[in-house]
Amino acid sequence: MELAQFKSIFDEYYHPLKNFLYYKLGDVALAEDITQEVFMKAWEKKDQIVVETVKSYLYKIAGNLAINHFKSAKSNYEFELKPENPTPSSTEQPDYTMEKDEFAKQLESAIGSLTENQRVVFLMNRIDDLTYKEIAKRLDLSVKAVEKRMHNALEALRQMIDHKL
Amino acid sequence: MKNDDQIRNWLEGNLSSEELERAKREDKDLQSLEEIINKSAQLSVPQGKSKEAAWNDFVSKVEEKPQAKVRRLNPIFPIAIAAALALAVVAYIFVFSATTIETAPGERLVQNLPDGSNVTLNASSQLSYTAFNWENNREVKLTGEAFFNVEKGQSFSVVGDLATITVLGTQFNAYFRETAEVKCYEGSVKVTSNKNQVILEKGEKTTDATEKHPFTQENSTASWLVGEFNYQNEPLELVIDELERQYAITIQHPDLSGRVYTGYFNDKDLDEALQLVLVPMGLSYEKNEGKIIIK
Repeated sequence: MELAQFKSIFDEYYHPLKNFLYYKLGDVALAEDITQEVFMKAWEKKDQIVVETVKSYLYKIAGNLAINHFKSAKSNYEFELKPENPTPSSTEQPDYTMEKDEFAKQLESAIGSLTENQRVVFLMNRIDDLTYKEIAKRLDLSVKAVEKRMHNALEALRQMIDHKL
Repeated sequence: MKNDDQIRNWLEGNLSSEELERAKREDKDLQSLEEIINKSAQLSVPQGKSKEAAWNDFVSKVEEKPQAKVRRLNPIFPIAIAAALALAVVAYIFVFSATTIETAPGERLVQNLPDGSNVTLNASSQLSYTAFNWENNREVKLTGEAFFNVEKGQSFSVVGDLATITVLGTQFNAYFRETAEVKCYEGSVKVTSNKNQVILEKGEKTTDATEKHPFTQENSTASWLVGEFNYQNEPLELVIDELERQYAITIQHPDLSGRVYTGYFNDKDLDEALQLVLVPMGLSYEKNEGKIIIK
């Protein structure tokens, strides 16, 4: 595989992988470092890369590398808030962010209290706009498992937010 | 759960606003999720460095990587070189250098050559050849006696001090000791010696590469291959030498030049062989400290 070909993989998966690692670890700088590492490892194995299976391979490397790091302080997730009804291109890089309202802050802290599996699946859908099927493929899970995690995540979020209200 | 499918459609953006309104009316659970689902879609991961910057970092790491790799391999490198050299030396020895086989007195040996030809070496003989490019350069050096069974192919040469035999594919016996005698058992062979040249057909032999004589061919191969030695008017000293070689013994004898022997011995029993050779010649012998002394 040539570097040019590899770049298209990098372009497609850099942000989703960085986000995935952030959902796991809650540390942007760390997520970025590990994402670099993921691509370095993939590049070393570039001759074995099969385009069809490359995404689950990348997520697997990322997951394995993340195991070596502890999630930073619990429930300390900080997200940025995009304006409502964003244009599709702004999902990746919003032009500006909104002041966080009370509910956004509650949501943020509740997300931090989810289990890692719940948080990863929930945010891969909500932030990265991935379908259940796509999440299942990337994480090597069944769609049923994704559905179950999503269900539990929503249930947990509702309870946490209800109690605070 | 019954509303999981509905939630999935919602989260994947597959519900129209009408469908969503209807679903929320039917299921209060969904209503309570609306704010969570909508707000969470507005979240984004804090920006770090840009993807372009990350790519540039990646490329620069990839480019310095090969050197790092070589450095890591360094400890193995000298060993690899040594191993490769050792292998080359061994290969050289096997491929380019001569293979030499030798028989001791009392010993016989069959050697297969690279093309499937084979040679049987009689006692106290030496044969050497180079396996490299054998098909195009079939040449062996011989001292002593050997019976050759040569596969058809390029010319096959047996080089001795006194004569050279050239054949194409045949069976013959080469006796390259004090004299050079060649017996042809099959096909034809060319013998050259001191600018003389003679071509032998099956059943013919030569000792000087000039004249050829028929010999009594009892078997398809030389009888010594099965341990039998037949002589017709052969110098007696040569026969005694053969006894020494076959039985790995030393025989002391007075000057016997000029005497010739006709007869037979085999390699099974020393005393019988000695009697078969010496009695007809009017000679007697005794054993002394492992030596045979002929009177």
